[in-house]
Amino acid sequence: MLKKYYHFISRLNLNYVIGALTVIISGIIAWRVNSLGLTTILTDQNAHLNFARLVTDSMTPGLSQIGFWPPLLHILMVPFVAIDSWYRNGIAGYLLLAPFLIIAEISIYKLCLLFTKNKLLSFLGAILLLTNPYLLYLTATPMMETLYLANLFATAFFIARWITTNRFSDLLLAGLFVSLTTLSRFEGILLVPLTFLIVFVQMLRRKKAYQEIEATLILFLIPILMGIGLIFFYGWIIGNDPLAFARGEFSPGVKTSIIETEKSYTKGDLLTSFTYLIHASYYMLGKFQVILGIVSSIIMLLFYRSFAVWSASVILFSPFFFDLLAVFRGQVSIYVPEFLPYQFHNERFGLYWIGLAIFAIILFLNILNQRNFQGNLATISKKTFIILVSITLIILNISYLYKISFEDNFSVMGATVSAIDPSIKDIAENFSKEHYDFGKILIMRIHFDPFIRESELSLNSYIFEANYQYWEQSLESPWLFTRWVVMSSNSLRAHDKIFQRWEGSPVFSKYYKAVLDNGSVRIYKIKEEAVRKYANQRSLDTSKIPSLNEQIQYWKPENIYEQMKIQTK
Amino acid sequence: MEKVVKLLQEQVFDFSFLKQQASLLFLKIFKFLDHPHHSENGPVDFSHEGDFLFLPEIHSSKKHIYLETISFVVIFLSISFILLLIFRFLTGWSIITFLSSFFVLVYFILMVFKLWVVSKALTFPLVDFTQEEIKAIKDKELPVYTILIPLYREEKVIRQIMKAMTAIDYPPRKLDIIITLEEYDHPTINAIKEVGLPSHFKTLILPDVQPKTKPKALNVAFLKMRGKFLVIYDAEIIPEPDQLKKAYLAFKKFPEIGCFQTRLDHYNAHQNAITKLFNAEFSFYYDLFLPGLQKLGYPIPLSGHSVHFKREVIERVGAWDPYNVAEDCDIGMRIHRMGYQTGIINSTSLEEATSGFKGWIMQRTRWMKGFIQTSIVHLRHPFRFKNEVGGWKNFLAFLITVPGSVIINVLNLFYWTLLVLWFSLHPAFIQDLFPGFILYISFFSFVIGNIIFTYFNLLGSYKRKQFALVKYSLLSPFYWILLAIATTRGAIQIITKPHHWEKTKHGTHL
Repeated sequence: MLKKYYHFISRLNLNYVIGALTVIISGIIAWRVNSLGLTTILTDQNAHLNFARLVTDSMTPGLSQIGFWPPLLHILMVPFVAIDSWYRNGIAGYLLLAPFLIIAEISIYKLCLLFTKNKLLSFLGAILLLTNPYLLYLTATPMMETLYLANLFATAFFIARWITTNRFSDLLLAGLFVSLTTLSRFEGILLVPLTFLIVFVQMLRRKKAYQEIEATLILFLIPILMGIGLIFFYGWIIGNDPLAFARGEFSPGVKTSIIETEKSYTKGDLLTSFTYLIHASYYMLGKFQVILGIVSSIIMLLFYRSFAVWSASVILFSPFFFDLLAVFRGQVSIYVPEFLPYQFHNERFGLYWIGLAIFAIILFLNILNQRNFQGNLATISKKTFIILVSITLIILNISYLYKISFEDNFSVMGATVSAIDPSIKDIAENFSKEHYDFGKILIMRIHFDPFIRESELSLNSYIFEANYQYWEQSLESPWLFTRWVVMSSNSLRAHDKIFQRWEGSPVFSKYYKAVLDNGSVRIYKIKEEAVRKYANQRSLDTSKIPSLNEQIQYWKPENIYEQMKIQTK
Repeated sequence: MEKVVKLLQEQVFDFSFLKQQASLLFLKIFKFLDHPHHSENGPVDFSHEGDFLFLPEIHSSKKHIYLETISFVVIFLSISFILLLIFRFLTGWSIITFLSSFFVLVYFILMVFKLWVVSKALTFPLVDFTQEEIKAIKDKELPVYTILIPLYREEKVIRQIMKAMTAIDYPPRKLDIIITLEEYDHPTINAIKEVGLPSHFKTLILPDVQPKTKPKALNVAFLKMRGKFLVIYDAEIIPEPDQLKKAYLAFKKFPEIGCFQTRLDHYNAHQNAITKLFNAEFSFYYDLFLPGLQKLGYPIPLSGHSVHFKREVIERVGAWDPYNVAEDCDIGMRIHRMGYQTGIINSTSLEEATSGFKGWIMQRTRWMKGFIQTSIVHLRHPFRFKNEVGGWKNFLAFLITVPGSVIINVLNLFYWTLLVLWFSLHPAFIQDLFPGFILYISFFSFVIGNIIFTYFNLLGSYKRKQFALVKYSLLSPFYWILLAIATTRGAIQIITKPHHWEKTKHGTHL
């Protein structure tokens, strides 16, 4: 009976089956997430949507708006967020990421198949990945994780296949996917030295001549360095610093340090860092899966004396290692409710080694499957054990998926430190519907991504830090350019340049009055009469002042002051 | 009554004369639509020994400017100008900005086209035969095969070519090797005498008539050949010994194919930086580009040697154009126009890569000048050419591969100059040349395009297992600067010395 099913599955092209299942299951979860209002609950989700949207909808549209985060998600999302409704409800993220989830699934399936030659077991690997609730959640929302994991898994697969078959095109594809991984998340950067080393060692193992090793490494590295080079080049052109992504004013690191005002509880303590990460993994993968994953990894590495298996494992483990170091060094913080400060934060880091956990479990089952035991009873027991473990895993994963998405309603996401303040939506709606008439709004976007998205105003109504000259001029004399000013009024205000520049200033009070304040956001409106008086005193043409005239949507910052001057004979 | 009506129809309402006159006037204005040309009346004339031009003059570069060309250029420019004005009215862009955007788009299309062609080549096997298949050929079934070797001032490589030709695995009695010589080229004649020719070699002293070009030598020799198939080998070529047998099998297996191009490689690839880059370029061209063109059924610009033809095909197309300095590219197009396909055999001919800067520039100038000549000749009747070459797709492929190569090479020089200016002086006018999305396309074409094409050269070298050359291929952008200089020189020479053949010096590696 089992054999019959096995032969049936062997004949199927499982890539299509995996693709179809992924579309169906991820579609259901995307609908669920959207109906729970969780698609844009995290600050980062709003930021990603805005980064991509600003390329087409901004005072300064273009690639300069992509920002200094790893840019792949933003670039790929541009056509999706250009459609207004997809941007507003955040579904643009899912529409982009669903194909990448399929790539991730198929990569894991093929990676397992490469070593097990067993379609059924490899298919189990894909199913385990597909039924992880948090991976599905992150696919349903505009986050970088699915993009990163898809490229990471594809890298592992192509490197492993290159080592196994020596097919040169696999090496080139591996190089391409390493490049895409580095452009997806900073964790990907670790792949550059890692894969370089793997390729180098493999060439040595094959006893290749020096010139062939050199040529192979050059061809492998070019697409990778091109990806990194583009990030440096972008930083140099837009931020005047090739390392703007790491140390620039608007780099993600700076944003993290601003938002994460709480202290790091893991800094300098490797064991604590590891404990936090493992506990995060319990939430993201399920406790049983984590333990089985660790045990299987050890068994797999002991039994598989294969360089290809080891290389794939190291690649799949790299994000865990990267984040462990980052948490240990205090560059990022991770919180889990079991330990101080008893909250969730960056708990999703626990998900990133899911590829290794699944790969190891499948290879462990394959080791068992291939082992010859003497006697029928032993053989039947072995098969029964494998089937039981497989079924248990599927049941556990599906029940975990059901529990998290339909009973627990992804409560972890609402409980993280980076979840947005629900009152932001209210004040943004109140502002855009009850108060906003026309004109530009001065705002520091790094703190107000959710406000900007929730306000449902066109993004070119805002002037913020990535509008460069507009931002500088408006920050200096806001009353001439921006009719509205939005400032932080909570703990973030220490980092808010508008707050720092104008809060408490009598000059500012002369031209603006506060119209809304919810304790975290304060919104000011221009005092038109005061500005007209200001203009008259300085012989400025009020019909040319952007803050007073609805029809002035764009102006050239370099000559706006000349234009505002009344021409006298 | 009927008679009256008939009379009226014939005498008063008969517009046939007017129609005829209008048609004549139309064809006079739109001369490029008027074909066949009067020089095409009658069959190909192989008795023309004045300059050995057998082709109808309209298909030759003997005279560059015909009324056809002038009318086409005038009409094309007029339509372009009107479109430009309309576009300007609609967008408000300046003419310079528009032109800049147009050329950026041309760049982008070229990049996409090359990527498309290479992607096809990656999965396209070359025509090949096993050693068993070659060994199974019986001598008696082999036809007479002609080898044409045009020589001029090649005294240094005579021994090498003799050695290469005698190494060919083909029954000598079925080989018809014709060496052409200029009567005043005593050093080469003496060198041949010194070496001594085997009986199946014959020499042919060329008549002292203009033009003094390789295609004229080929045409003279063609009249004397007796083979069913023919191949041209230049003085320094070392073909794989079984190449002729492979070509014979290929012609037998693919009767619809009119000629077979072989792969070219260099035996002095490691001589210096120029030869290394030259080799990388050839690796890409012959292993990744031409096979893609063949798979897609596009016309192929052939190389000047190591191309195998059927005699009947050369007869039908009227042999080579003695006035075209890239007669190889031209005949490739004409063969395609006649409805024949071109195949590529997996057999390599080794040649000498030009190693000196001056020699390289001169050789490349000639090739690019020849590309311009070929473009002019084939675009005399553009719509006819489009129909004959196989429709719009093939026509566009020709535009990209032949005139497009010339234009892109010249534009490269212009854009690189702009880039250097931008990074050094930041002049504002440059920013105006690249409005909005054009900036992104040009950035993409420039950065990604250059990286991709450099990468192709690397891949080409790697595919040929020339591992030591891979790192040198990273210098390809510098090589393209030389290419741009040579092309610009070729464009100038087309006016100053249109038929001048700048001889490539061989034997510098010896």
